[in-house]
Amino acid sequence: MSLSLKRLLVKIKTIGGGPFGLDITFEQGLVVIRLDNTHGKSTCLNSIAYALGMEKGIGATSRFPFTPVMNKTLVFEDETYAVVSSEVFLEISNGTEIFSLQRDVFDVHGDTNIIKVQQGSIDDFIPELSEKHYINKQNDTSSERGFYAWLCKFIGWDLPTVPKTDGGESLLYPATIFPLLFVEQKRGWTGIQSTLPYYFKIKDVRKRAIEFIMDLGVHDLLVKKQKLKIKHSNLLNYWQQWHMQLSNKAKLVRGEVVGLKKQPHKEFSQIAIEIEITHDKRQVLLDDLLIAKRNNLQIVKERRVKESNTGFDVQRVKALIMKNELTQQVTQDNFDEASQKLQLLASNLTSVGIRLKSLSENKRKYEDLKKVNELGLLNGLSVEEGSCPACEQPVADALLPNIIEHDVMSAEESLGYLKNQIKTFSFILDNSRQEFEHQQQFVNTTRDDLFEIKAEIRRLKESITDVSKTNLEEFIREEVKLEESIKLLEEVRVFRERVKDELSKLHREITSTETSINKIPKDGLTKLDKSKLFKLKQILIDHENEYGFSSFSPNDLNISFDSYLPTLENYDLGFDTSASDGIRIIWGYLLGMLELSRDYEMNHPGLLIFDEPRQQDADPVSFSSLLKKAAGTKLHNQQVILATSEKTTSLSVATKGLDFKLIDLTESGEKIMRPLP
Amino acid sequence: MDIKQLVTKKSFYISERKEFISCDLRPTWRISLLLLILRLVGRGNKATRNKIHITNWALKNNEHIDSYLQYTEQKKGKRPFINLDPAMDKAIDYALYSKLVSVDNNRVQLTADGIRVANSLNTLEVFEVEKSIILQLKPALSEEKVTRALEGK
Repeated sequence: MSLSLKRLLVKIKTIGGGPFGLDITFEQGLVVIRLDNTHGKSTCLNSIAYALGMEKGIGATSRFPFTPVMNKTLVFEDETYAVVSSEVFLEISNGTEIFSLQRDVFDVHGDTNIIKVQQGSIDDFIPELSEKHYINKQNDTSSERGFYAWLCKFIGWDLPTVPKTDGGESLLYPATIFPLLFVEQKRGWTGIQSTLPYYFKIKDVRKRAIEFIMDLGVHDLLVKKQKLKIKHSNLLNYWQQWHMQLSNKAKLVRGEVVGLKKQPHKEFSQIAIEIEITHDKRQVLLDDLLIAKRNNLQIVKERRVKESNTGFDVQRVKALIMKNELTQQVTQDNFDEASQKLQLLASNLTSVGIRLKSLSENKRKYEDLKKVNELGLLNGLSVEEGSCPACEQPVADALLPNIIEHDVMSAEESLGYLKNQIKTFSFILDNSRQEFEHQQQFVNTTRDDLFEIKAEIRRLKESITDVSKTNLEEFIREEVKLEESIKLLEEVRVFRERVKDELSKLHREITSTETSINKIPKDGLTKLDKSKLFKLKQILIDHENEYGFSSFSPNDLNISFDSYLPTLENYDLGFDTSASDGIRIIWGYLLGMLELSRDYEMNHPGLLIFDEPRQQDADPVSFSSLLKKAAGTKLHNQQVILATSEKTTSLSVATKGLDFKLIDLTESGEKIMRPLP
Repeated sequence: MDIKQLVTKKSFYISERKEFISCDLRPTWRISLLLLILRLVGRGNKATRNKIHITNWALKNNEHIDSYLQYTEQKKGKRPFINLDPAMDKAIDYALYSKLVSVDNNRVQLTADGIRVANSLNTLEVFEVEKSIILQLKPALSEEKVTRALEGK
């Protein structure tokens, strides 16, 4: 697990001047690049990030991450040259192998989304022989041709798969890890990981990045939990499918499933699964109906044998027609009534749906509000504190105070209230939907009944006028009808038995998956994780003492088990310290991780890059302690690269007696881009 | 007769529940939205009250969005009935006195503080739905189209 920089070469071709550029050789340990302000310090460091394809990790998005010197005009000795093209080379090592990377920064013909890779030093780099890897395209992290996949393999990173906010999952993009290794000058010093890109839509990306760098076991647990959850939801899906199939089968015989719900339930038992069928206005179980029908068939058969030779009985048919017509009337009434009820239920269902939608919408808004409040974006506004910003009179926490009659709930209370309401209304919605489906089925069966009766009456009426009719035909008809219905019932019964078996297997599996999910601890930190975080805290306190941290006693600092960030009495730091102490915290935390990786198995590549760490004019003492701490990395074969605009004389005082490499680039007062040999 | 006794043998009490209000009436929420609107669809972080009101109205439901887009972009349909939400004016007032925006001749503009807050709102994972709708509407929110939708000219 190692990455260190060997050499950086920037080449700029211009019209009218020789190639300009910059050529820096790095060493292990502390490397200080000294340059005056506005002389190209950030251009130099951003080139490193750019060559590694990490511009997204330092806050650059679609914007060109450099000053115009790389793509428009270059000034040297008061002459202005137009830039034709520019490219960066970076020689990197992972301890065993050395590779050179090349990427076009600005070139009409070049593609800036391709990074060329070749084994060996920059001097031996031949573009035609190099391998081309792409970035900023799909699969740049997972496919063999993707640059990030190559880089991770080179460093020795095995990127974890992490859940996304849209429900999917993806690899943890390297650009989200980079802010822990590279602190950019403009935004980088406003907080730990302040240039973290959020637009990859990775859930809790801040934590995931730290977990990965520190190789916390909690991550594996998370992955395991995620997998189990997916399995669980798949199993639930199967359950629902079986439920649906059985319901559909039951509908064939005008029945409905009882003793089985759409979701696995506690009181589940395979014996309880039954199919209830409406028969002669009574609910009968499938098995009972089957027996009754078989008996019926027997009776009909016997009657056929007995009465096969008697003449056709018109009176009997007439009576039958009258009876059927009466039934038709009743069924028609039932049907009308049921349809009306169905309409009512449908409108009820819609209105509950609308209500639920508006509640969820409000809940989403309150969650946003909660986040805004927690982040303290509008902190310090008097509206926040309940008084009018103009006249300081107390005002209610609402924009239209005249509509309010009582005290208003706080945002927190509202969220709780909404959650309860949503729960209640979801329950109502479920019930209404069930009732609706039930009614729908009832309407359908009644309609079928109606049609059947109508058809039967028509047939009977025809048979009166038909002289060729015999009683026998009637009996046989009845027999065939019964046999068919028995066959269908049998079929459903067989299917039900199969579903019973499948579901009891499924139920066992679901229960065991649920138990495994519950067994995973909520906080999820392993013993080793806790010891890593504890050690990090000690290193941090040690560093802050040396840097002269003074907002409060450094010994009160803590590392949160929840966010893994420095905290004071369980509150995230960042707003409570002075600006210069905020920077000291960033020094201590990032260097602390580097130090921690010496004692523990971690994914830290042993590389740290600081652009202008002496922000806010941290006093000379703490700056020299920072340099001292950073110089200690040489012993452990790690690398810290610092760029600063500190004056040469004061820098030599601050680095007295330290073993480090100084690259002082502005003795002549010129900007960094000079003619290349 | 004691009514309490009549209803139940146990003693009971009635307490006044605090009132629930919709989140979009919360000053913080609406001010945040205002800052986002100015940042995302303002020209130079500046917009007329009319534009702010139309955006705010469109965010209330999808039919508003459809009717507005149909009228301004496809030049079809009736002019939408746009109502101006007094709560938004109140939010502008609050933001003005909190020095997040400045108001000049009916134009509202973000101050440096306002820009800072709006930028963080824009990068954080909040107001995701609102942000996407605002950006979707952006081409249809030129001052000219806004005036046309409000005045029918």
